[in-house]
Amino acid sequence: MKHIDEGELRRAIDEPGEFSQAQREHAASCAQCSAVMTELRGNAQFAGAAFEGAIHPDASRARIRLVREIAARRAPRWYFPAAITAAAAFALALAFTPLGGYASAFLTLFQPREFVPIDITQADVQRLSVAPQADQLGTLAVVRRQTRTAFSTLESARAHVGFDARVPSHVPASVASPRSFTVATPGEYVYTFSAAKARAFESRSHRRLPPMPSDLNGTTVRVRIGQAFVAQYGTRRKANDEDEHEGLTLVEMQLPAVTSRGASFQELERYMLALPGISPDLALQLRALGDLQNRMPVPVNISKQSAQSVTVDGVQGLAIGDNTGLGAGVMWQKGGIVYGLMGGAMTMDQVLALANDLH
Amino acid sequence: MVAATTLIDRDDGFERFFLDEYARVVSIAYRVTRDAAEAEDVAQEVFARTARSPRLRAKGLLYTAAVHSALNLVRAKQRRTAREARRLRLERALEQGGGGQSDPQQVLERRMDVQAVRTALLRLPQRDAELLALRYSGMPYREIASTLNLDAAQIGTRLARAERALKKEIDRETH
Repeated sequence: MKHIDEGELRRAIDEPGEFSQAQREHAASCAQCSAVMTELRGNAQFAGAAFEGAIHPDASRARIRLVREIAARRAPRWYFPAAITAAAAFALALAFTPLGGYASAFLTLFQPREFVPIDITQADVQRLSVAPQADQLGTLAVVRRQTRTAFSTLESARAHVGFDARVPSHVPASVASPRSFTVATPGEYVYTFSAAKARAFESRSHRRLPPMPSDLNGTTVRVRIGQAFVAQYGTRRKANDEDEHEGLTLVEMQLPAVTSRGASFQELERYMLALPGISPDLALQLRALGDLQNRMPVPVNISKQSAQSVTVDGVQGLAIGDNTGLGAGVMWQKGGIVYGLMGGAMTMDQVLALANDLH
Repeated sequence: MVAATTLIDRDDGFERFFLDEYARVVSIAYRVTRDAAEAEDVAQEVFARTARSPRLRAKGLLYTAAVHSALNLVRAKQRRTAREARRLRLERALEQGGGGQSDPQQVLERRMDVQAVRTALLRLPQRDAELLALRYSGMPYREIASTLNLDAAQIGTRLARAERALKKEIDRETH
């Protein structure tokens, strides 16, 4: 009898019933097979020790926790417009080109060539809830509010977009209908930092804030948000008004522009990252970003979702998710447009194929 | 809360699916995380993702998603640990005028045996990590084959290879 295949020898260790009598006799008498078996047994024992440990989770308690978890996710977790808005908010909160010196006026046009995942954990989110809100440190004035208009056909939506809105040539049959298209008009907002408001917040909440530098008091940040186009495929709305996640969402946004007058970037960064509610780890990650004009931070819970750099649409992008089919998305910038594409029940390969097929 | 309760309670099979599979999913995740609380976090995440979509409720998908999520969690924790160690080193250096007395990394990674297994799993090809997590959670060969879309006859060979690679990586990590 010829020697027994290594895989069969390995299986015999775990499932001896699958081993035939003839194989058993051969393994016992053949020095070579016996030696392989000994090595395999040693490796299996080693792995067994590495992975040992019984675990007896309480499913009833876990069920209660899951009900709460689902309730906490009323907002779709993979909703790219929200993700992009959050990313932009992060960038806008911190991204002022360092020109050096004080009382400088400057213009920044974001040209993100690199999307950098910022690891936001549940603990970070809970901690952020104690951070002062924007209106507690200054005043936000709406110069021009964004308005959204929904269209039932791509052609009618495209007629209202000032840039070339691209969509995939073909979408999977599972998300082919219904389709909806939304166009958001440009918006403009001005935020002014106020030391008086920060002091009022401190006395009202009995919480200490870092001292606001005198240059920061009165500093204004003007944000111009460009037009946006959103295409949704196969997204259904449920009777209980919770979004169904199985659809495909494509977002295209003109790059925002920021002008500012007042404190330097370093002062702003130092102040904002010292605010209560910003964890040391989050501050460390944001400080490490460096060039915010070209690097856009994307808040992602990378404990739960893998994030990786990919080439998409001919440029560098950030892909979030995996190939299990439980949801994946990708974002990138090309020709002055930030793109986000999310498939709620798709694999990463499917989403990338669609992203590479925009016309 | 009402909507969520309805979501899990409604008669679309999710409740049964959850109760039947929860312990198995935690057990699979535990082989990777080596931490019971983290394994339960992974299971919560995976079930929360499948709760809304009946067509995603396939066991194979669930089990591989548990391994992927657990690997992601471990990867993120390691990154965070490294950042935390850098921060502590920096703070200590500032406090002591640059003369650090002990390595915070060592303090943070006391549980070296656990860390070694986690690190080794991250270094293995994902397919090997999946195979080891499924096998050492107690799954029989036939079920592993069906979960990973492989022929049952291939499992022994692949497992032998994965165990050899695991031993090599753990040895490298601990010596």
